[in-house]
Amino acid sequence: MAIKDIELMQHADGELDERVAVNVRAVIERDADARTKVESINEMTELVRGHLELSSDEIPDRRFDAMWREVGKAIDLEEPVGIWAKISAWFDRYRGHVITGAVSAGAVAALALVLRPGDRDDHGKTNPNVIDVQPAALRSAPVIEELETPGGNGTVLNFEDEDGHMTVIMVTPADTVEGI
Amino acid sequence: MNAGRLWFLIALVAATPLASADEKSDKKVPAQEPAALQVSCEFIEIWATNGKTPSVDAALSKALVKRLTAVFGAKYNDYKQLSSSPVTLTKKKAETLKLKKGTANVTLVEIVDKTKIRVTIDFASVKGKASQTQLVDAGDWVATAVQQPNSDGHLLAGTCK
Repeated sequence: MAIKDIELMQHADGELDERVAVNVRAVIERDADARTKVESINEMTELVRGHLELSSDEIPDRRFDAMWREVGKAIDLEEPVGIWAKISAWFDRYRGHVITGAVSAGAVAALALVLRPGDRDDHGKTNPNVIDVQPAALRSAPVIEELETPGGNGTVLNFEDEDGHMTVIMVTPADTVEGI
Repeated sequence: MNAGRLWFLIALVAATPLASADEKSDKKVPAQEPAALQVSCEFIEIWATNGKTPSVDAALSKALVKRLTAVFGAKYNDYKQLSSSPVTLTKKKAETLKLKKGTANVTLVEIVDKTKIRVTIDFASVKGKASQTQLVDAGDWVATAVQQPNSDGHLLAGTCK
């Protein structure tokens, strides 16, 4: 079976279908001329490749830089031009991060608002009607400005400790046998 | 550090001052704020006796018991809470306390320096009564103890804040 030179070249370049390549390989094994041609083609291929590599090494770096600048310009042309377009593009690019940040900020703010100490009464309820409770050391003893104990006697006692003051008005009805 | 963690940290730093802004703003202008027109108080009605064995009602706060025992000493050793009346006092408005025995009315006369209140307490016990107006710091206690014929004591103690 005769084989064309073009098929030998395609075989050398690995461009043949596997089915055709099997036939070509069989021919090459049998035909010494075909084998010689293929070897020559391979040598030519190596020579050309080596020559091209050497040629590329001789191109100055600045020419490559110029080429990359051109590539960069071409890419930039696809970028948005206006400031709002750039901001929009930035949000598009970092949408996931922005959402993560916003959700995190909201969660932290909510936690901080919930956990921050507030004004609560003894029953744990929020008490909006507070007056300032000063430290016990800054408080003064209660002052009895008016006292009436109809039909009895009144005695005022003051008690003070590290927690603050307590004033007790002790009332003894006049007809009570035992006084306080 | 990956980008997600970086954004989380930025959000954390940014959100914390926002969350506390309300509290800070409260502290900035206390002088311009109108004084609170209401105060929250709690009045405790107690029956005190001198029993064979000392007994203190578990419902009573330790701080109050400590003061009662310090004031009355050996006169009473048995304290029972008859009622507890949390009440919000509005200026110049008399509030009636719900007592087990007797009656009581409390009136907030005014708030002084946002740390004190001038309050009038009218307490009519089973036997004996008292009417008083006093100036008391927020957090301090006031009490009226009316001696009963059998030497028991009918007490009304209160604190406001």
